[in-house]
Amino acid sequence: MHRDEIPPGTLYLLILKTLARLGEMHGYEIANSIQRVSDDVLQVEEGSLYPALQRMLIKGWVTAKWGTTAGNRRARYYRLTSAGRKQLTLEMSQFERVIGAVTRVIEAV
Amino acid sequence: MNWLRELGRRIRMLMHRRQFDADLEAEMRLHLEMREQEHLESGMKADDARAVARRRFGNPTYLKEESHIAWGWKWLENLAQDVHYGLRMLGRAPGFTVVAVLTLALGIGADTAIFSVVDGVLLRPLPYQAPDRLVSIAELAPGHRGISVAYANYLDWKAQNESFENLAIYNTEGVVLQGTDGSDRLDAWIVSASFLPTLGVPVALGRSFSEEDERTAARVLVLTEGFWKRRFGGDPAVINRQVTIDSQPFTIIGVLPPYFRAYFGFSTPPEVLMPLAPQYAGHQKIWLTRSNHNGNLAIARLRPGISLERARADLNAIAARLDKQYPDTNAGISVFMQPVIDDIAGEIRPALLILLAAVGAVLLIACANLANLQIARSSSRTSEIAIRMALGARRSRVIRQLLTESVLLGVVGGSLGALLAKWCVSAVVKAGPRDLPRLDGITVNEQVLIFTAGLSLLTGILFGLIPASQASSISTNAALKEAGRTGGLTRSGRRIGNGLVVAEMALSLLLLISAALLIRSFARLRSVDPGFNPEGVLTFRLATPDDRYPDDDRRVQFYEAVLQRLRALPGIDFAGGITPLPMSGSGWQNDYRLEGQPVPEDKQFPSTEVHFVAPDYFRVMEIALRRGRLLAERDRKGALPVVVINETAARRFWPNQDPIGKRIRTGAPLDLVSSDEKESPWWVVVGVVGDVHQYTLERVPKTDVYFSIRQRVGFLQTFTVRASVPPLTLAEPIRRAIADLDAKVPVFRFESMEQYVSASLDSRRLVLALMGGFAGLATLLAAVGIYGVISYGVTERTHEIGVRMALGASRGDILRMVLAQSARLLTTGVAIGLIASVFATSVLRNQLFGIGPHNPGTHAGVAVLLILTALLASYIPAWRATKVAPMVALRYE
Repeated sequence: MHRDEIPPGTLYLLILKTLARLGEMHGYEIANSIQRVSDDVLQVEEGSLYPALQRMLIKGWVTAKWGTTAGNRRARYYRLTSAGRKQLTLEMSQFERVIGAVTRVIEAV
Repeated sequence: MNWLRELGRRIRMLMHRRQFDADLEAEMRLHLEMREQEHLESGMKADDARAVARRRFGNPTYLKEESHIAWGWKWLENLAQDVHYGLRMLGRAPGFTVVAVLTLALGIGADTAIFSVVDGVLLRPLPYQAPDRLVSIAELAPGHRGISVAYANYLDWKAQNESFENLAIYNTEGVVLQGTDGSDRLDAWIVSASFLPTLGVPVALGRSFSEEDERTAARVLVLTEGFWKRRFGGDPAVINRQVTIDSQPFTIIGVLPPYFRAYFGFSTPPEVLMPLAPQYAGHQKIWLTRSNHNGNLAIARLRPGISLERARADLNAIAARLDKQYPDTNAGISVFMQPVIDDIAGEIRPALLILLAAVGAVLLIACANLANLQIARSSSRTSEIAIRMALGARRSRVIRQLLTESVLLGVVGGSLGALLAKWCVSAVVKAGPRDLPRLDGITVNEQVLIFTAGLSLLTGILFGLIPASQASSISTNAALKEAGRTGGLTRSGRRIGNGLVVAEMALSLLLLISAALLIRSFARLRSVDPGFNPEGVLTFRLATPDDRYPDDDRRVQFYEAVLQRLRALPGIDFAGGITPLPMSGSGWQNDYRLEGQPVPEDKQFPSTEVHFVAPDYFRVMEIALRRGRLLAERDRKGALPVVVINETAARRFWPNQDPIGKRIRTGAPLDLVSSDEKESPWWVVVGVVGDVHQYTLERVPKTDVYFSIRQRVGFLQTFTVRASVPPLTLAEPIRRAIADLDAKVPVFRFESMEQYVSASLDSRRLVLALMGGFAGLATLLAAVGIYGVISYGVTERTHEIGVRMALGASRGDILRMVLAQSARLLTTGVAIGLIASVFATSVLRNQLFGIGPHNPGTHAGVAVLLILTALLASYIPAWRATKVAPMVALRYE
């Protein structure tokens, strides 16, 4: 199975989007969700989620609190803040602008 | 505000870092376990499941580190590690550590001490409101350095200026406070009501002078805190109390705050402030005479946004109008104005800045020395560094590690230096040199300590950076191959080391030349003949209350009675007196006109120094009589008005003529052209005396005209007696003798003439001592530096020397070889230093006396001295090199 590295800088966007869609999740769920939604094409080096989540905590885009999983294990759940939501819109529009530009270049005859 | 909240989060996490680490660890473990579980459930073997999970996850340690970096902890952790490691390394090399810390303590300590003086004298704002808007004002007459302000001119400035928020005039006077328990002589400043508002100083107790007081010429009094504490025990009930000053009743209305100091204006600070109005009310005519510049000074507060230049132009425009309006008195008079801080510190500023530069150079030399030591040391640490780099330490990380070590040294040295500085500064303040203003403000305060802290860090980086980048530039491979052998210096390391020694030599030479020039100036100054013999002369002052001695005649009578008593005292050979005393800092000038000279068209008469003496003054001071006779008892009121002049006056007034019998008039321009011989007599020159240095030893004597107090002025500022016993032992007998005549006359300021002469050299002595000390320190450090480099070179070349000796080189050859290496460094350094001195010592020009800043003899002598010292320092390792036993050297490998 061929798996693509995610483009640099989009990890935040992926996490933000995932959290926005599905609400509160722990790290493992986020990793699985990104993988599943992208039909296994996008694969993050799973561990790198964690430093990214730390950076997002510092930025105040997400908050975290400890809870229990379905299997009754302790896990840290992340949730989007309003700042995070703002950041998501910002990153989305940036991403679309870049993708749009790239597409236009590719499709130009 | 976002970054603030972010910082808050970072700090919160830093405080709970253990919890944070545990959380991250738990979170990651959970992830791995869940992934592993998933693989197990899909049918993998346990080992594979774990391995795949791990592979997909990445390196947990690395990821944890990434998180730490994200939180901004990494540098803190590294720092703690580096400090810990650095302390261990320094502990392992105690010799180096002690030398380095002491060197730095001396260097940084000296820098801190000088900076605290600069801070206290030049930088700290004056204790007045918005002090940068305060300007001091005097008047300028052609041919003068600045004269005092005529009251009438001040009134015009005050009414017509557009530049000042406030303008005040003030004067100084010794007054007598009469109490039931005897009289006290006080230094009072006589001020306009606008004085305190101009400074922006409120009273701490009671009230300040008001415009109402000024209008009614009320006799009111404001005390300084010091005087209030001393005389009234700090009693708050002193407000509204009546006291008698110069026989007039005064009411105390206020007490100044403890921080009030009058640093500007007159050299004697006030104990009380008195209003000017009562004096003015009594003598309006004299006060309003525009030619009467009777010692007043002015101070003003610029309006916000008005520059000094604009204000000066404003007042000069007024002065120009007065010039037109009153040509008899105001012709050519303009305005002198400068920031009040220049008034206070303007003279000492260049000397302080020179010292600051010198002490900076000493610290640079210390840094160069330590850098050299570090380079030598790091060469023996090559293998340690190579191993660290081979294990993956980045170069920047190694540099940081080494820098931490040197910064640690800087901080420890700096702390010791701060203590040293504290001690030095209190010694300087205690010595209390007369010409150092704001002495009470000189302390090692927080601002100075911040400077020291910054300097320590900077020093650490400065002397650590070159060795660190040197050490970390090694090729790991080569270094590891050589491991086990004594690491030698890289070629560039040696070149840097040599360069540093050359720089040290050059800097030390500059300092030595500066010190030598100052020393020679001082010696020349000391050998200047003041024109009198200060040895064995005692001086003192007394104040005659106005009620009992209201006029010149009665004062002179009293003076004569005093002088008679003095002459009768055992141990006193002659007694006299003078106004003003040489070297006391004050001088009186009058315009003059010689008989037969035409009146200048613009009424601009030349001016001369004038003195008023009680006749035996010349004998007391042993001032030589060159021609004619001295002033005598018979020269009194009603007799022929006579004067004695000095040689310079004789030469200038009547070149190539006999001055005896010539006539001169002195006083205001009006007196000089007056036809009334009674009001303004022609004074006949009866004698010529030797020149006397009236102000300082360095200032060339000007023209002096001496009058007898019996014929003019009738006021004696200072009594002088020639003693055949130690002068100061006479103070008590003199006090008793005068109390016998009149117990209500305060007698004060007993000082030997030698003290006055010595005090005039005080600040020069301080600058000289410091500069000499710094130059000595610099030379010592430079000698240690060259010793270190040569010594290291010899150790490194032990093998080579051994081979040479085995091949038949004599000990003399070896000695010559090592010394030649040192001589090359020395001569390069000295040559650079000599070239630099051409530019650098010019800044000393104003500090020198009787010698120019470029004195070939001094420069050459000092250069030779430095070379000899340095050769001596390198002779020790050279001599050691000759003791190398060839066999041992060859086995050294």
